[in-house]
Amino acid sequence: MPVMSKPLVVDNVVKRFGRGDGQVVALDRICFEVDHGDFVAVMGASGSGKSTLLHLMAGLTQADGGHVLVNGQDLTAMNDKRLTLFRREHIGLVFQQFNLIPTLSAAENVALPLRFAGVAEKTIQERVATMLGKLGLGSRAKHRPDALSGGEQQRVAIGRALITNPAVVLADEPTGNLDSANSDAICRVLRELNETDNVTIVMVTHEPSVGMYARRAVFIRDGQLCRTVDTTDVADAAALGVMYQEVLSGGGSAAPTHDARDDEVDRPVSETADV
Amino acid sequence: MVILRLAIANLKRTKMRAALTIGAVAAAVSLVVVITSAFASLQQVAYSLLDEYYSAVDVAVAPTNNADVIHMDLVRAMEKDDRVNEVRVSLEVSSLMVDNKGNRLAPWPVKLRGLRDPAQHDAGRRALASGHWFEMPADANSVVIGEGVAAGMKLKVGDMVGLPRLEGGPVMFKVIGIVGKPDVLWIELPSVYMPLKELQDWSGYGDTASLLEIDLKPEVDFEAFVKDWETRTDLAGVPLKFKTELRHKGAFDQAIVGVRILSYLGGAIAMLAAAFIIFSTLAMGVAERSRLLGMLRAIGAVKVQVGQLVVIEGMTLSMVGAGLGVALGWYWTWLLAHHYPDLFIAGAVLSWGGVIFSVSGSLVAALAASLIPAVSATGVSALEAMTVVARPSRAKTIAVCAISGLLLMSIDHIIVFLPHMEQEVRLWTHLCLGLPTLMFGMFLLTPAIVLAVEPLLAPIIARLLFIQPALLRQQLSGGLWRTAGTVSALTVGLAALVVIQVHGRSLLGGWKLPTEFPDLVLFSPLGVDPKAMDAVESVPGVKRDSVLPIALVSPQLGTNVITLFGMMQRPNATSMFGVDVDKALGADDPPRDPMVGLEFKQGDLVTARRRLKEERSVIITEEFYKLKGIGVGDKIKINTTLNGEVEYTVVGVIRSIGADMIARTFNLEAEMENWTIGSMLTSLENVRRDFGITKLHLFMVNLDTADDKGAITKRVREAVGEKFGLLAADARRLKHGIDEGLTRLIHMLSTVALAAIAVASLGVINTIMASVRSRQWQLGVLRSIGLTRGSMLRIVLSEAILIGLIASAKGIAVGMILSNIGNRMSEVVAGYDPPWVIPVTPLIVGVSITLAVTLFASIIPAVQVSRADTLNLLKAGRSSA
Ligand SMILES: Nc1ncnc2c1ncn2[C@@H]1O[C@H](COP(=O)(O)OP(=O)(O)OP(=O)(O)O)[C@@H](O)[C@H]1O
Ligand SMILES: [Mg+2]
Repeated sequence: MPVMSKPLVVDNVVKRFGRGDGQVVALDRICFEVDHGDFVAVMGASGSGKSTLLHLMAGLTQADGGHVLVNGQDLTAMNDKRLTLFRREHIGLVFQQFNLIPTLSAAENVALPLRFAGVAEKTIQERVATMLGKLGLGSRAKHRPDALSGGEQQRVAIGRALITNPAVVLADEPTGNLDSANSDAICRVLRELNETDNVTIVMVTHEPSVGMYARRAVFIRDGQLCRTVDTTDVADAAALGVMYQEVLSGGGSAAPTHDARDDEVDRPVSETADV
Repeated sequence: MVILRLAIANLKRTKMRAALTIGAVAAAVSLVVVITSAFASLQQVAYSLLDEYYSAVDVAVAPTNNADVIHMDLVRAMEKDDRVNEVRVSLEVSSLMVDNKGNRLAPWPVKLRGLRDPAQHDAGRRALASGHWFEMPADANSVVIGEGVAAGMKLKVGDMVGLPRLEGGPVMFKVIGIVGKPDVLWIELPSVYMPLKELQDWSGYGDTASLLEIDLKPEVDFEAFVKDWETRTDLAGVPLKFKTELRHKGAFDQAIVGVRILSYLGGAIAMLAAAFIIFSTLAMGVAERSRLLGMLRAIGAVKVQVGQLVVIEGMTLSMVGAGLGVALGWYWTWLLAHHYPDLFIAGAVLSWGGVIFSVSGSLVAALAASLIPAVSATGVSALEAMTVVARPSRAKTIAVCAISGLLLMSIDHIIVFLPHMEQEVRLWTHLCLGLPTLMFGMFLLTPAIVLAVEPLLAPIIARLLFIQPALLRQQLSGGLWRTAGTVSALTVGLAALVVIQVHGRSLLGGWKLPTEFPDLVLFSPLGVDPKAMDAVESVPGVKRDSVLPIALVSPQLGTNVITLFGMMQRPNATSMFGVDVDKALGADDPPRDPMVGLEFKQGDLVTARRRLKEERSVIITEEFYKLKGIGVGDKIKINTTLNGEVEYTVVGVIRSIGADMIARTFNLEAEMENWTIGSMLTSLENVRRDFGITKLHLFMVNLDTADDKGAITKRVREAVGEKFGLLAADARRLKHGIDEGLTRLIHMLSTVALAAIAVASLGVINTIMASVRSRQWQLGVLRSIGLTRGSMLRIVLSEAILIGLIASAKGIAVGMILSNIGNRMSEVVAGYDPPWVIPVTPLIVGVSITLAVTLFASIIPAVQVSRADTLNLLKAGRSSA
C-alpha cells in the first residue's frame, strides 16, 4: 500500500502582522497535523490566532516562516494562480457569513466551483443533485438564498465546499451566525459527512457544544498550540467548556509537540472539572 | 458561461442601476444615430439640389469667375461635336422685380433663369401649379414664376411684372405659369423663368449664357470630352470651369466634410458621458461586492475570471444599450422624417455609418470603462470573504492616479505648444495621442480632486442646509471611484459647452472691423460698370469720391497640398480683393483719408500703397502670414485665369478685417466650392489684368453726415437700388448680422453639450442611489437616535450638490484648458490666433443646468430613503454591509 501523504500538515508556521512596536505575532512556530478522515475543532480565545491559522491552511495568506502542506504539496511555494487552482481542487471553504450569491439558486451556488473549473454540465448536474440530496436540500434546489433559513443557507455553503471532493474542508465559525438548533443541525451534517464519506474537516469554533461534534479539539493560545483533546474522552460539552475556560485563563500545557495528540489525550478530563 | 451568468445575476441585483446605465448608453447611441441619419438625409437633399441646379448632367460648364458669361459661339461649336447629344443653355441673373411704375414688388431679389428651351430642363418638365410654359416665339415677354415668388409678391397667372432698367421705365412681362414647389428645393432662391433671348436682351449680356449643361451620347468618355473643350476660351471669351457629376459631388463633399465630422463629434461627446456612467456603475458593483468577489476567489475563481466578470457586465450593459439606442434612434429619425418630409426625401433612412460608429463606439467605451474596475476586482483578496471589516480606500492608489493623470495631461500641452514642429505632425499627434491622453489624465485626477475639495465644500453646504457638518464628512470619499465616474460624466457635457462657447466666441471675437471702414456695402448681383456709381454718389448724405469698387476673385494658390483637419478643410485658395488703391488706402503720398484703416503687422502703409500701384503686389492678412510663413518681401504664386501662374510680392501684413466674411454673405453658393485661406488685398488694375474682370459686384461707400445710417441706407436703396438691382447694407450692421448668425450656430451646437449633461444625469441618479444604499444602515442608526426625515433628505441632497459643484468646477477648468488648446490649434491650422473671449452668461447657464440636473436626479433616491422605515434601513444596512 503506497504511503498516502497527510491531507494537512502545518509545520513550524510563523505569522506576524505589522512592524516594529505594534507588531503582533499571530502564530508562533505552530505545528499541527491532520490525518485523513479526521475532524478537528480549533478552539481558543478571541485573537488567539484561530482564523489566521485557517487562512494559512487555505492558502489565503502567506506565512512568514514554516510550511503548510495540503496533500503533500507546499502551499507556501505556490504563486497566486497555482494556489487558486489548487484551492479549487483540494480545499473546501465554509464561511461564517455563508457568502452565497443572492441571485443564484441553491443548486447554482453549489455548482459554482465546478463551473469555474470548466467541468462538463452533465457531470455538474449529477453531482450537485447528489450533494443536495445528501445535505437534505433536495427539495430546495431551485430556491434562492433569501428563501432559505440560515441553517439551510449554511448547508448550501457546505455543499459548495464539498462539491469538488477536497482533501480537506476548512470552516471558520460555520455556526457563528446560527441559533443553537440550526447550529446543531449543521454540526450533525458535518459529523455525518465525516463518518460516512470520510471527509477531513478542520473547523474553528468558540462553542464547546460545537466542538464536541469533532473527533479532536485543539486549543490555541497566543499563537501556539497548547492542548489537544480527544472528544470521545470528554464527558459532554460542559466538560469541554471547562477545559476551554482553563485554556483561556492560562492553564494547560504551553509546550506543543508534533505528537501532542498522543501526549495529551489521556490527560484526565475531570482534573479541573470542579474549579 | 458561468461568468456570464454571474454578470447577468449581478445586473439583476441592481436592476434600477442597470436600467439607468443602459438608458444612458441608449440615449447616447440614439443621439448619434439620429444626428448622422438626419445629416445623411440632408446630404441627399443637397445632392438633389445640386442635381437640380446642374440638372444631373454629364458635364456642366460655367465661367471660372462667377461674374462672367460664356459666349454662345462655344455652344454652337459644341453642338457640332458628334459626341454631344444636347446642350441645355441657361443664363442666370439676379434682380429685383418691380411693377410698371418701377416700385419693387418685394425687398428681396429673385433669380432670373433664362432658358433656351424649357422642355429640356427639369424645371420645364415639372408640372405647373397653373398656366403653361412659354413656347417661343409665341410667348415672348412672358415669364413662369416659382410658387414662392407668386406667394411672396401676390402674383397669379395673367399678372404683369417688371424688371428695372438703367434708362427708361421697366420692361414688363406677363406671368403665364406658376411652377410648383419641387420636392427638394426647400432652400432654392425665388426663381423666375423666362426665355433666354429676353433675359439676354434685358441684362445686356447679349449672345451669352452662364451655364451649359451638356448631355453626352452613351459611352462617350466625359473626361476626354472635357479635356478637348476645357481650353476653348477663344470661343467662350472667358476662362471656363468644367464639371462632371463626379467632380461636382467631390467638391461638395469636401466642402461639407467639416459638418459631417461635427455630426459624429456631437454624438461622441454624449457617448463619452455614457462611458463614464458605465465606469461608475461597474466601479460601484466592484466596491459593493468585494466580499462576494473575495468568496469567488476563495472557492477557486482565478483572477482573470473575476476580471472577465466585470468586463462582461460592462459589455452587456453597452450591448443592450446600443441595441435599444439604435431602435430609439431609428424611431426618432422616423418621427423627424414624418414631420419634415422635405428634409427626408428618401424617408427615414438610417445612417449605417452612424449606427456602426455608435455601436462600436459604445462597445469600445464599455471596454475602456471596465478596465480600471476589472483590474481592481482582480485585486480583491479572497480574505475579503472571511472578514467583516471593510477595506479603507487606498491613499497610495489615488496619489499614483493623480500623478499619472497630471503626466498624461501634460502630453497634449507639449504637443500643442512645443515650438518647431511640423504642422501636420502636430495636428495629428494632437488628435490621435494628445486629446485621448488629456481626457484620460483628467479622469485619473478626479478622485484626488474629490478628496481635496470635499473637506472644503462639505462644511459650507452643511451650514447652508442646516445639517451637522460631521454628518457630511467623507460622504463622497466613501465611494470615491463611483463619484469620480459621475463627476467625469457631468464634466464631459459642461466642458463641451465651455469649449463651444469660449472657443467659438473667441473665434468670433477676433473679427473686428477697423475703425476706418466704409459705412455702406453695396452689392450688385448683375454687376455694374464702376462709372454707374455716380448715381450713388449723388445721393444726399453720400460722401463725394468715396465709392470704393471692389473686385473679388478666389484664385488657387500655386502650391497644391490639401489637408483635412477635423472640422475645417485646410484651404488652398484665397479671397483676393482688388480695390481702388487711392480710395481705399488714401489718395496722396503720404496717403490721406483712407476709406479702410489697415493695421499693419509688417510693412507700412506708405510703402505698401506705393508698391500696390506700381507692381504685382499684395497685402496679406496675418493668418496667411502665420499659416504659410510668408512675409513682406516674399513672393506668392497665384493661378490667374488670364496669365497662368504669376508671382505677387507681399508688401504688407495686416490684421484681418473680415472683408471676405462680408463678401461671403452675398455670394454663398460661389463660396461653397472654395474654402479660402485668409484674404489678400491688391489693386483693381492687377485683378483686371490677371483675371479679366470687367463688371464689378461689390462696392463700399462712405457717408458724410451723422444722420441715421438706416435712413441713408434706405435712401441709397431707393435712389439706385431699383435701377441696378443693387442691395445696400450698413457694413457694421452686416457684421452684426453675421455675428448673430454665428452666435446662433454656437448656441445650436451647445444643445449637444446639454444633451450630454442630460445623459450624465442618469449617472447621478445611480451614484446617489448607490451611496444611499451603502449607508442605509448608518442612516437607520441616525434615524433611530432622532434624526428627522427632513434632515435625512437634506443629507442625501447635499451629496448631489457636492457632486454638482465639483463637476461644475472641473467642467469649467477642463473646458478652459481645451479652449486654450483649441485656440492654439486654430493658429496652427488656420493661422488665426483668436483673443480670449469668455462669455459669462452661457457659462453660468451651463453651471446652473449642471447643478439643477444633479439636484433633480437626486430627488428620487432622496425621497425614497427619507420615506423608508427605520427598521428596514437597519436591516437592509446590515445585509449589504
Ligand atoms: N490583517 C491583520 N492585521 C493586523 N493584525 C491582525 C490581522 N489579522 C489578525 N490580526 C491579529 O492577529 C491575531 C490573531 O487574529 P485572528 O483573527 O486569527 O484571531 P481569532 O482567534 O480568529 O479571533 P476571533 O475568535 O475573534 O475570530 C489578533 O491579535 C489579531 O489582532
Ligand atoms: Mg476568527
